[in-house]
Amino acid sequence: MTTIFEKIEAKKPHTHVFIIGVGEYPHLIGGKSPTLDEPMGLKQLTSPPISAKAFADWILKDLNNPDAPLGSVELLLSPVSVYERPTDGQQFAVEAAKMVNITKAFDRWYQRCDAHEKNVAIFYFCGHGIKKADELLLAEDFGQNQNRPLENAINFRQTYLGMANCTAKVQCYFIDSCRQVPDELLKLDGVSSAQPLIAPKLCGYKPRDARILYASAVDGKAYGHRGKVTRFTDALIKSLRGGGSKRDQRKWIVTTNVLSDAVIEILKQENAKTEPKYHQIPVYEAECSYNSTIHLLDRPPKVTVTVGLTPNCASAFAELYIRKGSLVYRERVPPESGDWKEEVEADVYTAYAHFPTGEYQNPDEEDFWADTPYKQVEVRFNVRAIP
Amino acid sequence: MSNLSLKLSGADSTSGAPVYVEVINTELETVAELPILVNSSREIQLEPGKYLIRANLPSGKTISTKAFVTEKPNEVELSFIQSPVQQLEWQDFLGNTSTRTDALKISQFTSTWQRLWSREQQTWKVPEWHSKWKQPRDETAIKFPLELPQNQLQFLQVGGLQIPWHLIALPPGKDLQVLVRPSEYESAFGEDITLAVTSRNNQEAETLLSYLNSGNIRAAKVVGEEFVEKSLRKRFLNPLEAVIGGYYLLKVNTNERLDEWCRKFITQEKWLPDAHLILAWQLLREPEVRINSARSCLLTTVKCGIPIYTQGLRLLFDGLQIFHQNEQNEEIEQALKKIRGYAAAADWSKSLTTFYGHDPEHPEYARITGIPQDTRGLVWLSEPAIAPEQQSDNSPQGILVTLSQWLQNNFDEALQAGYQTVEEIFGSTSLAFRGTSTIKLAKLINLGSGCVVALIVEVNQALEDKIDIVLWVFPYNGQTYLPENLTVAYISGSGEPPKEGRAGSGQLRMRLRLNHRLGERFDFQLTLGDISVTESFVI
Repeated sequence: MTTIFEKIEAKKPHTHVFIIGVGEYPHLIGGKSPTLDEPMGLKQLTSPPISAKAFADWILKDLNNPDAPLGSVELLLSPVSVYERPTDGQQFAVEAAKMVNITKAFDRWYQRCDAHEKNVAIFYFCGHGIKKADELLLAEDFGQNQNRPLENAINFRQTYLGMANCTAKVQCYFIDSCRQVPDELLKLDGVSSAQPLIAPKLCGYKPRDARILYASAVDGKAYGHRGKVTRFTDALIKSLRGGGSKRDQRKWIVTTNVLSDAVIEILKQENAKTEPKYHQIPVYEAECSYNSTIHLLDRPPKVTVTVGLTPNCASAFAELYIRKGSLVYRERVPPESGDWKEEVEADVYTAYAHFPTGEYQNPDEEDFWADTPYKQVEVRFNVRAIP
Repeated sequence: MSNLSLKLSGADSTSGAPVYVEVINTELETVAELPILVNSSREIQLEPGKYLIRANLPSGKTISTKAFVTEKPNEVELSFIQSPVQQLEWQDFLGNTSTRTDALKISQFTSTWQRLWSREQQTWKVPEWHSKWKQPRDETAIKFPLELPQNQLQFLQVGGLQIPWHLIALPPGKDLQVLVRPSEYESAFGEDITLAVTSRNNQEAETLLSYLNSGNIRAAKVVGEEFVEKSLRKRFLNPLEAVIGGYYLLKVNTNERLDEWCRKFITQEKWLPDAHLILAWQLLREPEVRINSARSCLLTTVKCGIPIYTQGLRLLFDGLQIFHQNEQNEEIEQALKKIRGYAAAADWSKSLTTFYGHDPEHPEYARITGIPQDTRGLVWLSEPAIAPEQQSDNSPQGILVTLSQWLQNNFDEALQAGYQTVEEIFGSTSLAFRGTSTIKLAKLINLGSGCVVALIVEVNQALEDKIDIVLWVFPYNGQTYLPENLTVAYISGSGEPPKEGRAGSGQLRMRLRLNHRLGERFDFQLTLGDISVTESFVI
């Protein structure tokens, strides 16, 4: 049992988190045990346990939802390791993400989530994922049985359908895995034999604000640098830290809607820095969205602002200012030139340019709203040279 | 409070489409959210002050402007940029156009074809192409109108020598507009195309669908509420509006209005698979689930064909899985087996049901390329490179091909023997002629009765006088699997007994890895029934 956090007040809503990070697959290529006859090209991974730990760290240290405070965290990792809780240094020998442990941890998580209508249920998986018609998430012991290779795979779609009977009204699923379709999987008839963690039922559907955020599109890959947090989890944590927040009733809140938009936009910005073959396109599915709160920020988030001039050569002569009300908030003066990139606290500002030596006409000042943390704001002044 | 008149301006083809607009004050709070129809105005009341007005287009693009609201009446206009490609404003608005700057032109995809599939009396037929058609030239995207009989399930299929065979459901509306363009991203299978089909005069419903499909549920709710409210006051809706409204109500889960919507608009569309599906889910969402009726509606959906919208395909697959988990039912099992095939082959990112496959009845995840043997009803989107009747003819046999020459970039013999680049045959990236350590060439082998397979020969320098060779046999000509009982034999020049392999049922490919020294010789023989073809090589 690896319940790394549990603090539940009876009859009160909570956030319950279930985290799985699988990097070690003994029955896949490079594994320590006899490998599957047709391992589908799937190898050992280094990023998933690191990413799962990073996600758990953020949840334990920073998650702040006064409407549903953190109630529990279940963590399973492969390879097994010791997890040190960042809040108090307590150490946990975390269980392996084998199917038997996953089902037990899921049952505990489900029971807690099902206890209150206003609960927030968060499911996070990082590891190998494959797809034919059904989405399958692979546990550590995937491929243990040559006769039933899919025995230790989670049928995720059916699990998601089964969760429609759970009382928790807000449900978030973060699936950080590839969604490729290996040739060997196509040859297997009984793909549906992969079992859900909870079977869907015909009766008792409960309306829910449910989100599935996949790290990649169907057929796509999810990337991670060796030994580092994956790109998707990194974008997810950045979004939870404030990138996916919105101002509402004088508070900055991370909501189900904005979080998904932010993760997609952040990865899109990352894609622009990489070769097209490494582009990662996350997708999401939503059901009956109420734009529910996941996290409340304790301070306004940061927004990146670029102030530039056209023609660009004019920037060498310009003093650039960002003003908040009547006070100068940021400034840049020559000899700095080119576009000016600054991080500002989310707010409404005024930008203006001043040419002290008179080479160009001073343009009109410009108000800008730095209100969407995951999007960059650009203010560009067209200036005319003075002959 | 002061009045602010908000106007949204766009191209004529986008007129009447509702756009989700937010009004944000200087506290960064959203003080108003409303739909505004393109090329019309809407008045709202605000406290005097500064505001940011932001329109969120279904394509994901945003446009914004600032407003300084005084106590006098105020007016603000938001105008969105015209599409960079003429005549594509509506597609651009919905997010169906590409942002790629290096996109290939359609004419660069060799032998691209299209045909229609129409469902009549529970069978699929290829009707003749009635619309006038002129082959496009030198265009990145092609747009053309399609006027088809109403109240009939129809698919458009596009494929080519390099392009996997796609099928896209045609919406149940009049005056369809089809867009064919290169894909935004190169897939694992190489360059591909993307299809989008819209219907004229259904701007509200199609915009709502686009918001739903892009996951912008907030925008869908703002736009959808008004669409549903207005529609419920009408006596009649066309099938496209009825179905999209039904999917919207299922998504946002408003049971009462869904019941009213189904009673008023959905129950009439008996030919439409989507209509039965929406009814099935309405029944499954009721507090007292009518299981028998829901099951019956799901099965009727499958009997009617395939849902036109991807939302529907998802709900059908989900619905059948839920029944399958809960009861033993032969009909459900059969239906699920059938729909699982579509679910595996579907492109889930599209609004309209889109999948890869041989025909509407046979979806295939494995990509099929080539030209159909039966060319009835086929219309060329790009010049056919090889006449269909010639494409499976065998190239010359009996020419001894010297493989070590390939490593010196000498392909004269190979070309003479009928070898081509892999790209020419499959459309995937060619590795030949590029100076990489592995050289790959391919040849089509005709084994009679229309059965053609592709032999790919990979050559790689191992040691100074040794060469690694990998021989692959792939299905071709629209086939997913190799012909059953295809036999391949490696006959070494040293007189050793031949090594043989036989393709089983559902075999995707065959592979043989060899290692030879300079000067050694071998034959590779492919046999199917009475037909045998031998390829001869020397290192």
